[in-house]
Amino acid sequence: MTQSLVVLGAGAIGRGFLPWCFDPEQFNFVFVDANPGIVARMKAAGSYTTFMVKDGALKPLKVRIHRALTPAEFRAAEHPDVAGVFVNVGPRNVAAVAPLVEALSCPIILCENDPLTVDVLKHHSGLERVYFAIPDVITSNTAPAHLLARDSLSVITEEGQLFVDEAVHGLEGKWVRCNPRELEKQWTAKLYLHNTPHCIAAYLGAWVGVEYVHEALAVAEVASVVKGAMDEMLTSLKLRWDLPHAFLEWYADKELARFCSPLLFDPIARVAREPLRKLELEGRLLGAAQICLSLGFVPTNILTGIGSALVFDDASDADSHLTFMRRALTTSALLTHVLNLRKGEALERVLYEQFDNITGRLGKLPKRKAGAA
Amino acid sequence: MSTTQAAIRFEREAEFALRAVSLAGELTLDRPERLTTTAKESARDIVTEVDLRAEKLIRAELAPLGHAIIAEESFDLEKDRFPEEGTVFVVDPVDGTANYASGLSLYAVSVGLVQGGVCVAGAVAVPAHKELFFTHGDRGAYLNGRALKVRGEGTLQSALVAVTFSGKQGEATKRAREFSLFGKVNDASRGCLRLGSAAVNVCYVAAGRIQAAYGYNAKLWDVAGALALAAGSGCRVVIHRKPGSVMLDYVVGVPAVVEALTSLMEKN
Repeated sequence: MTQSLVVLGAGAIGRGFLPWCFDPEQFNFVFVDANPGIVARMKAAGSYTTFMVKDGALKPLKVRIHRALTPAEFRAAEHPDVAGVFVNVGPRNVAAVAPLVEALSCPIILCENDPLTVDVLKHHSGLERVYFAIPDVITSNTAPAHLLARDSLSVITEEGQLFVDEAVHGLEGKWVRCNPRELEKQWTAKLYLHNTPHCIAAYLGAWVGVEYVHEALAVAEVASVVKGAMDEMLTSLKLRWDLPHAFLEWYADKELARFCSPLLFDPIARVAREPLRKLELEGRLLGAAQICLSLGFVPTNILTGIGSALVFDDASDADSHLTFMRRALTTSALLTHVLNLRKGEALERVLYEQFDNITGRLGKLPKRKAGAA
Repeated sequence: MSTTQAAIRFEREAEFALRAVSLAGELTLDRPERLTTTAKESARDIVTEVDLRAEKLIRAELAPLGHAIIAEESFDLEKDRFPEEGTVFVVDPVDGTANYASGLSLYAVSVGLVQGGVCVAGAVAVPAHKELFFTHGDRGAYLNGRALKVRGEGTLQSALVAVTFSGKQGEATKRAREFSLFGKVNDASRGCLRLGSAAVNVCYVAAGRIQAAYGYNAKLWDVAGALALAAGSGCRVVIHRKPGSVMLDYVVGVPAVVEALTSLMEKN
């Protein structure tokens, strides 16, 4: 019997990766997205193609769109056959999906790059059947021009893996079930060996003026910082966590190869978006730097990444007011009020003392002219 | 989907305001062991040497933009009139001086931008709490960079409310009515607080910590910055002010709570 899967957020993971994790004969995809333009295009098209990078080529998967809806159009009662809900709306928007899912009795699986979002949704929805999943994959939310010309909804993904909390019941997919320890291991690796260097690559790419992550890695000076940041995190994880070193090294190599893939077309605007979220105290940049400092070394490359996030300037970004704050505030106020560092703590002192060096290093990076990439 | 973004108005003014409150906020943290206080309109309405230094600093920071500046410690309530024409910076170097002078943390440094009688942009520092509230030009409301968005729903019964009373006692019957209303609001809600700073009250409403704030006979500099960001956060803002005057009555908060408060005020 065919059942429905509700995908909240028809972006990179929702549209590009998740369909590869399920048998299209068993599941109908119901996409819900806050962008009415995407929804209208999905309704009109009835299907789209997601391409997987495999063995150096692009493998297509045509996805039939059972329904495409805006959140206002979605009624849980109209979907009694829902086997599961996947939430990929961005960590800041998780609370807002609570009214959509609270009447559903199926598992709600969050692919939100932040385990705390599970608690957020549980709190707002009153549901207990909310689970964390880690898509270990890079999926672009777009595709090269020749593919978009044929299908404007097409996207490109890697051949990744979906790690899911083993507590999920009543739904099966092509995924890896994990006990809490394994899930924590995968999350630690994802946060610090993927998220940290990935966003540094994006911020440095934005700074030098390229459009895609692989183009950023093609700039030798950028690649040097990204690889340096990866080494800093690799050293930290080996010292701090009881994780197999071979796993960590394999993970780091895998990620660097991913970042360089010319087939992925991973947009810098997507990876770098919402820099203030990426600069959260316990997150991929400040949290990573704090770990290194706590282990007794100054992570020069991660500090350069933090600097590059602070100078990210995209007028269309939800955090575009960061540029405004940077102009208005002294370095000291920026560190204490925007990054929420305590005056005098190690990271605040190091960043304050090295701020000119960091911006100096950024200033030496070669700039590409717009459109030259 | 491509979107056309309208230009942000007053971005430069808001930037200067944010810088000014941030720097003046730092200055207030360097609080002398013994503060010299001087009474103004009443024993509660006081000024310290830090107020004066902060105002001087803010004036210097805002001066390059060339707009008129109305500031608490240099405005003569008897003689001066508020200029209704043009763009005016309205400055309170320390709102909640009585708290500040007593070493309490709830005080604020505030700069608002008023154009055509409307508070269009602003920045408020609550220095002791390491908090910077601001608008990005005439848009939005932020606390240390994080966007503030007030939820629309709520009732007075479940609301925490904050009030400010004028430092000047004025007419006895009017004062009695203010205290009578305070009691009614306190009983009808989760409580009516007197935190001691109108700017802090209104910023806390914008941050969703409390659901409404009101005040009678407040001064425009107390709340000009905070009202701009309350509006930017989605609060309903109701102001009564006579042209040329800096005195105003205000109610701000979650729309439903403001409605309930307004109704109580009318019956009082």
